[in-house]
Parts: sequence; C-alpha cells; structure tokens
Amino acid sequence: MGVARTATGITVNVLLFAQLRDGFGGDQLVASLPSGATGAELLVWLSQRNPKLTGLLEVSRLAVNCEYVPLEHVLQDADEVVVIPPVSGG
Amino acid sequence: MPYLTRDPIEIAEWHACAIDPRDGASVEFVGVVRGAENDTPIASLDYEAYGPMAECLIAQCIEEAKTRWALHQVYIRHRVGRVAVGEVAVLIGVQAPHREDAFEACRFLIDAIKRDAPIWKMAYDAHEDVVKGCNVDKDRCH
Repeated sequence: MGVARTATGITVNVLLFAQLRDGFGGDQLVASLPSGATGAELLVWLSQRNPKLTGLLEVSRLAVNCEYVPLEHVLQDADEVVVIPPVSGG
Repeated sequence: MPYLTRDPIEIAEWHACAIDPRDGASVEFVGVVRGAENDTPIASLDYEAYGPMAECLIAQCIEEAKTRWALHQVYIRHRVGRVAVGEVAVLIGVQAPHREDAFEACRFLIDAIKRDAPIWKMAYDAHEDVVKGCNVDKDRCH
C-alpha cells in the first residue's frame, strides 16, 4: 500500500472488522514494524494509533491466512493479518 | 460449500436431504433472532462476517465433528446481512446412526461456530437506529 520496505523492518496489511473497523474509520491499515515483530507488538502498534480502542484490542484475536495465531506468532513481511474483535455469530 | 448466505435459510432444504439408511437420528439446531437483546427491544440484527475465514473455519469444524462422532450428514447455513426478528439466523443439522452422537455433534458445532467463526452482529431498532451495547456478547470477551 505504498509503504516502502526497509532492511530492518516488515510491512503487514491489517484487516479490521466490526467495532474495530468503525473505531479506526477504515477496514485496512498498513503497519510498519521491526523485523521479528509478533502479533502482540502489532496490537500495541494499533493501540498507540487509537488508545481509545486499547480495551477492545486486548480482547481481540489475530488470524493470518485464515487461521487464528497466538499473540507470540512472529509476523512475516507482507502478511495479511486480521484483527478479530469478540465474535457474536449464531 | 458456501455456509454463509444472504438469502433466507430454508429449513425444508435440510429436511429434504436424504437420510442415510445407516442413520437413525437427525438433530437440528435452529437459531432465531430474538425480539430483545439484553432486555432492549430490537427489530433486526445485521450480521457481518469475514467470509473467507468463516467458510474455512466452519469447514474445519465439520471435519473435526466427523472425526469425533459417527456422522453421515452435516448441514450448516449462517445468515449474513440484515435478519429480522423471528427469522432463522443459523441452522445446524446432523444425521448419525444414534442420538448421542447426533446431539453431541450438533451442540459442538453451534458452540464452535459461536465461539470462533469471525461473524459479528449489530442490533437495530424499529427506527433503523443502532441499539447500543448489543453488538458484543460480553460473555465471549476473554
């Protein structure tokens, strides 16, 4: 999304849904993070962009390639990461 | 197999599935939109899903159910978009040789979908206003 890669960092595409999409005012964000960054670091990055959403981010889960991943999951450059706030289907 | 649908769920379609001669039990769960959420009257729910992942996750749930219980038929449909009070939001149907497997598998499937499928709902009142506080099931926060 127009963000240049750097030798020391990665860029991930973040997809947002439901209350998080409404809170951030869009359904996608591009995050530039240090190499080796984990899902937990992505949540901190998101929280810093909108501190009001910290509580919701803390109860959200992450998915990469349509699979839930733990917060310690190491993100890769160009990953598409979905941030999933508490679900309420059914 | 698309498990998510914007069209009304036809229970008759599930009932029309041929029963395997090995099966002696057919169990279904029908989730219907209630007229109130947290004691607040509503007119409809708007279901939003992350489609690719929801489809994949439901397929995985079915595969897991088939490894844990003897099932010969599984039918799942979940609405997305606006669903009025009284309409079917989700239908889970299973057929198995015996009732224990059918009941347990049906319960497992609806619980797994409610817990893990990336599907969210927003409640609207009769004036098409969002009903605050109804879009998150608080007991699912972890």
